[in-house]
Amino acid sequence: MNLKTIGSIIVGGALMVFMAAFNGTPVSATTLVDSIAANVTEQAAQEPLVCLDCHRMPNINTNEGVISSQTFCYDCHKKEDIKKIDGSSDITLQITPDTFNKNQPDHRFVACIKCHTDVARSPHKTRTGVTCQKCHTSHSESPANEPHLRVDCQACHFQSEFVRLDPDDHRVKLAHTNYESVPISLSNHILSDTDDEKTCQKCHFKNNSVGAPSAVLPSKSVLCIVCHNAPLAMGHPVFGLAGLIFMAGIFFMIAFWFKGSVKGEETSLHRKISLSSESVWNTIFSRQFFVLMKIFILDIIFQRRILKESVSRWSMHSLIFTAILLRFGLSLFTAIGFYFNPDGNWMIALIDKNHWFTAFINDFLGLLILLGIVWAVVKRSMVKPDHVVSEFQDNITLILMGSLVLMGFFLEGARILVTRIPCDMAIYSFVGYLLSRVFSIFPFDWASVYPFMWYVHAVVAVVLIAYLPFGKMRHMFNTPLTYFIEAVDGVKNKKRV
Amino acid sequence: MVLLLTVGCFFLALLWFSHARAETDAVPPSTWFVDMNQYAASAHGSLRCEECHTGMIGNGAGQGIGKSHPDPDAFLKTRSRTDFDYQACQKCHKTAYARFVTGAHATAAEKQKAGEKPSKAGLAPDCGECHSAHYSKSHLSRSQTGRIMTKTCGTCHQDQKESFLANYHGKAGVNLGYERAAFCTDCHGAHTIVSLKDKEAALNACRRCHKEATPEFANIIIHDSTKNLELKSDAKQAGLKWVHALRAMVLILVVAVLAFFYLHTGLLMLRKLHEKLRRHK
Amino acid sequence: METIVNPEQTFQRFHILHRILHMVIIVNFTLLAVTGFVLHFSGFGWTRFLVSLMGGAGAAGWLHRCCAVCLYMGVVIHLCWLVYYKFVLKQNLSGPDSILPGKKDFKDLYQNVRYCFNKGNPPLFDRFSYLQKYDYWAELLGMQSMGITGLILWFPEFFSSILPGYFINIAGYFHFYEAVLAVMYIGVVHMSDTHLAPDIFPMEKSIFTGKIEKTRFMEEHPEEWKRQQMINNQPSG
Repeated sequence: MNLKTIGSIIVGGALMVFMAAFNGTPVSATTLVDSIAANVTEQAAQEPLVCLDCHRMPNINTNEGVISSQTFCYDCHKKEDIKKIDGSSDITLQITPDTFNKNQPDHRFVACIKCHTDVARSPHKTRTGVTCQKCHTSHSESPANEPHLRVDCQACHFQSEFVRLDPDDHRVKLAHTNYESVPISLSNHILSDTDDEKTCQKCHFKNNSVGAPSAVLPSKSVLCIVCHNAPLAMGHPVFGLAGLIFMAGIFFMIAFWFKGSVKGEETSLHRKISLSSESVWNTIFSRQFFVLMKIFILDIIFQRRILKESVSRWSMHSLIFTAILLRFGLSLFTAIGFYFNPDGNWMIALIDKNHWFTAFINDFLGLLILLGIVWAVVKRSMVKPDHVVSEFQDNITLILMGSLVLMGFFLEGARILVTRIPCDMAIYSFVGYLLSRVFSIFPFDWASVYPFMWYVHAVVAVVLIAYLPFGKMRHMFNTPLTYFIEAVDGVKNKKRV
Repeated sequence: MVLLLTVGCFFLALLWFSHARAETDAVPPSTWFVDMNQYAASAHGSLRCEECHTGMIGNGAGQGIGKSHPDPDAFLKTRSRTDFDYQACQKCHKTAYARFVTGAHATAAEKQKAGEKPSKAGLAPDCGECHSAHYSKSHLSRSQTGRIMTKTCGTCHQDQKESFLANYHGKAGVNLGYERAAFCTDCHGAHTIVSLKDKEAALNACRRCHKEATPEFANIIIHDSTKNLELKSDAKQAGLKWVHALRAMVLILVVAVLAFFYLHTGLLMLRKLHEKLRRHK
Repeated sequence: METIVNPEQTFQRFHILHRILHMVIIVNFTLLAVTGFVLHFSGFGWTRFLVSLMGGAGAAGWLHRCCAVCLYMGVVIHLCWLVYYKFVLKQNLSGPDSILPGKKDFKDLYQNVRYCFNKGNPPLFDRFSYLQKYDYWAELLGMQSMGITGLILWFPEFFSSILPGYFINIAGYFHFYEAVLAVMYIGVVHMSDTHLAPDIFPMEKSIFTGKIEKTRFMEEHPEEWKRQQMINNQPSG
């Protein structure tokens, strides 16, 4: 340690202390601004007030303006006797600067009228309620977002256990009365801890009045993205397990292929992998790429080779395949778009199951899938043409997919019934709405049945995904690969798959 | 490929314009605060507060909101726009005020004061319901005035606003900025608001632009929705039934024809593709 | 460009007047659709952009009426030609070459539907298939009704002196719905039939060149081909 080092440490330390002093801690900044505000009011009180002393709209984008705007409200609201008389009871409307700053430290420099946008007027009541989304974006792709689009921010984030379903706009909001209809005060502005499951249980309990399922359900997994818009996370461990089994299946499949000879190499796995990787790379970055593109569009997207065999077979397969492909495409588009623009109108519409477009297209495509599966079942079990041999692997696949789609429709019907979606919104989900009307005949506690149905649907999906590489459904991966290799190698496989 | 890209870019440009034109302010909701930037740029920007809000300064005995200011009972419960004494406007806007008093809005306001229930459209408006004294701008073009007017009148007369915007006049005037189209006040009068149920009144309104209009011309229905039927003349009510019946029939016919031919073409395309693929060895 | 080694024998299918009239229809129909829908869908931002390109709402209106007049003049010329064809050229307006619908067309439709479901052979068409005949008549009659409703909307003062006022409202709705029908039909059915059909892809050229190749002739209009051969093989006299 020489003199130069010690000197620079001292100077550097002093500089840091100076900077800290100038920036000030938040607490010191408040007292500074507050004292200025207090001085101003004191001076002004000595002269008669002129209109614009109070009625000039402050610039609430500045801290100075915020304090001045808050002062206007606190003039009445900091008093102890400020209250609302509702029926026979008095509800306090008192909120002091200290209480507010303690309970909502992050909103200290936000003007009251920034959130309570339409209340600073005569008559002194709000029509819109509190708007959080002027500053805050909605939750990004997460379990909180999609099922809670109809829930006001405050219903979860405000520490009051009483919520209600507003029949006019079908939104879940904070209630201004408790469940015995006694009015309560909400003026303390305390925020709740949303990580605690108790917050969720404000709505998710048996016989709740807001139409929530009676249990808190896990989020969808990224595996669900084949049909549904889903967050890009694994979700519940069961999905992870299914994913692992799926990957294992693919691995075994590829390992089996590499048991044979690759480009003349018989024994060294390392060389086999090298040779095949090189071959793939060279093919993609060559003129062959356009051949591959053409095969992809004509044979994989449009299923040209099936159309060549038979129009009815093409129709049946396309009903299932193309509908799933379109759903997958839409889900991918939503996931990517949502990542970049979670507040976009289109994005919110796409994740909102009650939006007419999403509701309609999901039901329509789902119906196409179901029709295709029914057609296949009828063909295999009733028509039984000679060239069709039904094995266990065919039947299990149809059973899994069929029950998945069927459960999906049942869930949609139950969801519409439980969350009490009004007819003019739900009608776009035409199958779901029909089912919800049918379900309403049965006097079950659908809010409790719904979580059970959800788990069944998830388990079937999990089994299907895990099973994919093990049964005939592996043709999803193998057939396109075969087409690509055929096209590039020019070797036509004479055996029919 | 290049052509496709160009067309694609063109459509993207069109989408860009798809945002509705910037919302010109109708009457913003009253608050206790006045935005001085907007006020200074408005038509009344050179006026001082007390020139219109007489008697509210100091210990404030006099007209305006409540008896004195601030009086909690007054300003918490009353509706400031309804309670303001609009005699203040008459000081400068003599003609408009005189006309307003003879019109249907003033008549409705009188009835309301006498204790009658407000009409289906809502509370009878005074000056401040349609004109923002603090923020209205002056020297607007006919097109701008028309757009603001549609929004303002439409706050109470929503049905008529929708049917107006579905009609040629609304589409050309408000959406496309066609200055020769008629706006609300061109037919219904600016401050002397009149109902056009009476045939003579309707014909006079049409003749302001359609000089050769015949009495039957006035029977063309501008607001063709089936709500508020009682505001229409008998001839129009009868005609409206026919209009909507025939409209439904034609719609069904169009859908049926298209469905049939789309199905036909779709099936035929599949079959022909199948044949063509088979022929390609 | 490859040299044509074996130029196929072609036959004259369309007279030059028809080819010109078809072009007239294409241009005017498209402009009419654009200028018309820009008014109806004026609530959307893209229409304002298009209207500004056209020079304002008034200009768009004038363009719409102009194209309507041009299109109708095409109809008139076509009708004059029909008169010329029948009375000067002394040709037959009915018969197998005609565009008038007949029993065969319904039989062909039924046969075609059965063919779609793999129950039988495709029908053998004469000079005009049933779809082409429907296309022609839909256009011709459609132009009359669009013309009449359009005129009613153009001169409401005149028409309200002879019809009740609400007829103008009815004309407005008919005009719009028929426009939708026309555009949706042409855009999907006509385009499929003349561009996307696998045998014709990319395009049916004979309406522009006037000529049809021999193989096409034999495939698409076999009955007419048969009659043509019989006429050619008949001894003159």
